[in-house]
Amino acid sequence: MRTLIWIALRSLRNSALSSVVTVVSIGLASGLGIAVFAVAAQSERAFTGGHPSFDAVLGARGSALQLVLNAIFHLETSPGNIPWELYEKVAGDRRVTLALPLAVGDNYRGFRVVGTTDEVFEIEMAAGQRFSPRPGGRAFDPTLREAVVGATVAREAGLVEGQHFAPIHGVVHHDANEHEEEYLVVGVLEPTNTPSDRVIWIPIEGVFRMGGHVLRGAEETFVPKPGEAIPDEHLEVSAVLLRLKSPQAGFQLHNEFNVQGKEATLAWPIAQTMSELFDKLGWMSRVLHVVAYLVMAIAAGTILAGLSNSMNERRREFAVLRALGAPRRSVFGVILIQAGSLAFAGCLFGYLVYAVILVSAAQIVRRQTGVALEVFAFHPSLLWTPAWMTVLGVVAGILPGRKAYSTDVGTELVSEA
Amino acid sequence: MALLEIQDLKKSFPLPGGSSRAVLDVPAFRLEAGEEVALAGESGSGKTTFLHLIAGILRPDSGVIRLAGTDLAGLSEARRDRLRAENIGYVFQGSYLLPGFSALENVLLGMAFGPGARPAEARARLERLGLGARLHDRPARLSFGQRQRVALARALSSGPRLVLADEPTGSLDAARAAEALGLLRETCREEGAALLLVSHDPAILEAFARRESLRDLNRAAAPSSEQESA
Repeated sequence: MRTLIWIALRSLRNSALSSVVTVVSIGLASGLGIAVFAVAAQSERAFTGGHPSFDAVLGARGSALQLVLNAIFHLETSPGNIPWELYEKVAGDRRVTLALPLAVGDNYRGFRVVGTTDEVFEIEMAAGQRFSPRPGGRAFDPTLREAVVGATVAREAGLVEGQHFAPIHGVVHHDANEHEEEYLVVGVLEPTNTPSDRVIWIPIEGVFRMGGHVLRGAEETFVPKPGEAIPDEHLEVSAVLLRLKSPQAGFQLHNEFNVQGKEATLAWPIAQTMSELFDKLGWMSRVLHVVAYLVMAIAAGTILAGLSNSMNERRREFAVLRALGAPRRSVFGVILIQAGSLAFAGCLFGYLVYAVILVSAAQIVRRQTGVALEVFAFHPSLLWTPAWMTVLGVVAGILPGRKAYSTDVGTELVSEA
Repeated sequence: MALLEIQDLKKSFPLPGGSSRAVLDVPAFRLEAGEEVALAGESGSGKTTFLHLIAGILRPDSGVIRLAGTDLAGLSEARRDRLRAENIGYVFQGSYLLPGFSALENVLLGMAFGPGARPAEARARLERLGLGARLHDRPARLSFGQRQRVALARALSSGPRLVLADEPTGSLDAARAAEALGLLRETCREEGAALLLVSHDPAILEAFARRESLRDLNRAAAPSSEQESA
């Protein structure tokens, strides 16, 4: 076997350019294949992992998915508001152990400004991690125009402790929509690798009182006046994050809000709501998988084409090997080893391609959503894609291998005299 | 016991339409261990087929080819391959070196399917042939004569008992042919290998004490003996 491997590798060296081209194409196919499977799996895991502290989101009547995307992932627009009184009612419900109100609708340079209570700093907002301002910073005072910004906001928008900024109305940055109120950044949060890194947190009272905001908690609209308390009936929130006492509580609240009630929508469980999104997008994932399989098959075709093209010029080489005593199966084996080696080397290169694709994808996903993919997390496709690619490569070597096997020594080495 | 003993060897090749053409019909041929024989053969006389049958590359239609006491006709192809790898060195008209392999690697190939690669021995063999400085050069960087010497080293690398040489000097001028032939015979003598050389060049044939004509040996070579059978 060592002899055959030696001969196979020497022959590959002899056709270095063609070998390198084949290895690169296999690498691209293999890397792409792994990336398609791994990115899909990691994205699903990252988006359907739920929230470490909350089980449900309560919001305006409408799409549960939109609620979750807006309140948890800070994407999409808010489906609307619910009265403050509903928040107080649900917060006081014995089946609810924690309720955090959110008020949204402003941004700064595209980063969402979210109003909430200072309780947000006492809750585990990322897995195993509370919001913790980095040294030199602190939590906002709920009675002042102060803000605490996520790590990504600080890095990309350049907001650091001591700086002032004026929120922009809406979710897209237009200078014309700038609010008059200025906020002081008093803290920058340590990175959490969650969408929260892209959020500017301010006191919820600030959102209520932001110039141009109109409160519709009661039937009529209400514009708060500076220095005057806002009656509770006029207040409203965009969403309430809820931690429930038990799954049974979830079922009960689901029935009350979604089946019997018409006032609000309860997105529960959060993970299942996101899973439904991925289920709906399942066809796209399957199309990508089919494309990945096709690309891998085409890459195996390059092995077949490369080796087949070289068969004519190598017939004499095989005849010489046969004359030197090489059995037919050894000549056949040399071709299979070459095919397998090309595929295997391609797969090793494929890991590099995969790493580049995944790092790029992770950066894009993180930039767009704040969700961090685990670049170096294990996924079974890391093993089975290269394994299948190598098997496919060996299979692609069978046809040219048979040509080598059937080399007619008598014809190739006939004397010219 | 003769190193090579042939009796009633017959070989024909199929023709289009289901007929066949008899190429070889050799009643008897013997070669002793260490002996050297030159076999005269014109183009188309079946000399290459004869050597391929002796080497076990082709299987005869009938007859006996006994090499070192073993009848090749009764062996499977795999065992004939093995017997060839261990007992026969083949020198072709061209050097037929593998272009992607260095001089040393080409010689190692000659050992690979027989006794196994022995780099030190292969290196020493090339050094003896004056190629010590060209061990790692590929054939394209060697002169014609150097390539012939590498091919000779390869043919003898497995320590064969019989060297088959098929027009080994066919494409050389007279001076280089004489030099190559001298090297081949001398090396075979040193190694104790028998040499069966086929050539159509009278100058080459005259150098051998024992000369045979394939036309005389091969009854199928005579025009009258060519037959077509359904």
